Amino acid sequence: MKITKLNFINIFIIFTGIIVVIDMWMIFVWVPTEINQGAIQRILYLHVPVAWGSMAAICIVAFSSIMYLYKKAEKWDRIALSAAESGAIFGAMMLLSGMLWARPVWGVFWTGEAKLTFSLILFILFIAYLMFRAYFPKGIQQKRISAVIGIIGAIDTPIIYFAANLWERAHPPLIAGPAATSDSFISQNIILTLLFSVVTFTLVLSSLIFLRYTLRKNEDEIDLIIINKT
Amino acid sequence: MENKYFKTKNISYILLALLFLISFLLIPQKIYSDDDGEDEIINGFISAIESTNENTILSITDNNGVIYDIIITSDTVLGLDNAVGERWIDRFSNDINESIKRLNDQQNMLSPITILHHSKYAHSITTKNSENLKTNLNYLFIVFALAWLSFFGYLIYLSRRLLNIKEEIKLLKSK
Repeated sequence: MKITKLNFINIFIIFTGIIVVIDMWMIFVWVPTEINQGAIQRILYLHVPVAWGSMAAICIVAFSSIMYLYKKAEKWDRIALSAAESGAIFGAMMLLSGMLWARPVWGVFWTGEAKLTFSLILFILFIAYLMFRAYFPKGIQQKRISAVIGIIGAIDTPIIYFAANLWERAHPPLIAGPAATSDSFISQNIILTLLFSVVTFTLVLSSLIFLRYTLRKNEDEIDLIIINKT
Repeated sequence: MENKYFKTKNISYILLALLFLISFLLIPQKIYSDDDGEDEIINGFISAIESTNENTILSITDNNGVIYDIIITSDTVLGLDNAVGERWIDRFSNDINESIKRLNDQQNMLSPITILHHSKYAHSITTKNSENLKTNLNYLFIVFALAWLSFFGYLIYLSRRLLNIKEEIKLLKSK
């Protein structure tokens, strides 16, 4: 049974790898260069999906935390921790890619506008969650408090999503989803590449969460063996 | 040997004659063009672009608010920077749609434009050539390199730890 599960993870990671290669081909070969920003615009095919990934990760953390508090099942706590770790990497990449795109386009690495500030807060929340997990003594109390931190953290997600529309500044407006502005126009090739990148990075996030979940499960197994032996 | 020398001499005479003929054909045109006045420069912003079946007319507003209508010909050379300083140079006739699209972008960005024209027929339309002509590929490289290093680094770290832990479980169970 365990072998089947491990195989599933391996197959999933290989499949994700193939999709990543196709995505890179689309980003660097297939999609035409955007006329105003030039080659630097290709960063957005990474920035938007990792931003989506980090917001999806905090939502998974919050949902799993609620389920853990409700069901008290260990698997929900494992999923929350796995999503938080992967989300922290996605959050860091969201900030870095955004800053490195902004430098040549806006002339500065950072502006203090709402969307950027709330994105930074999201990253800090991931770090706070992981630090709490690392330094607070292990046990049910640790899991319960971290679940509460995870749920509070998810409040940041809708604020980030709507920030560009609520406080219009330098950040480009929304181009997809319910709050997208109707007059936004993007060529079909660009939107297709962007959507494919979102799917690709969702698969990357899922792979990381799957692998971290398996690792966490094994760590718990070791703890259990040691407890039983002592 | 003498015959060969003679042949070479003849060819040089013919070439010289051709050169004279071409010069005579070109010089009158040059005189005609000089008589018609010198090329002029206009600096300003694009206020309108009008395309008809026959030609494309560019309306340029200078700093004093004077509007000039300049006709773009098929030989007009465009040298336009985009928002991040990448320069695009092409002849108007090579890709008319792309040229008009680029000019529309310059109009939207309110970029200062310099036009070299002769009797309202544009020779060249250029924006200021950015001092920094980088294509910003270094930023693109850093972003993707960092992303894949961190994702694959984390993936490898997790896989190795998983293998170690599995071995540890085996050991603990065997004891």
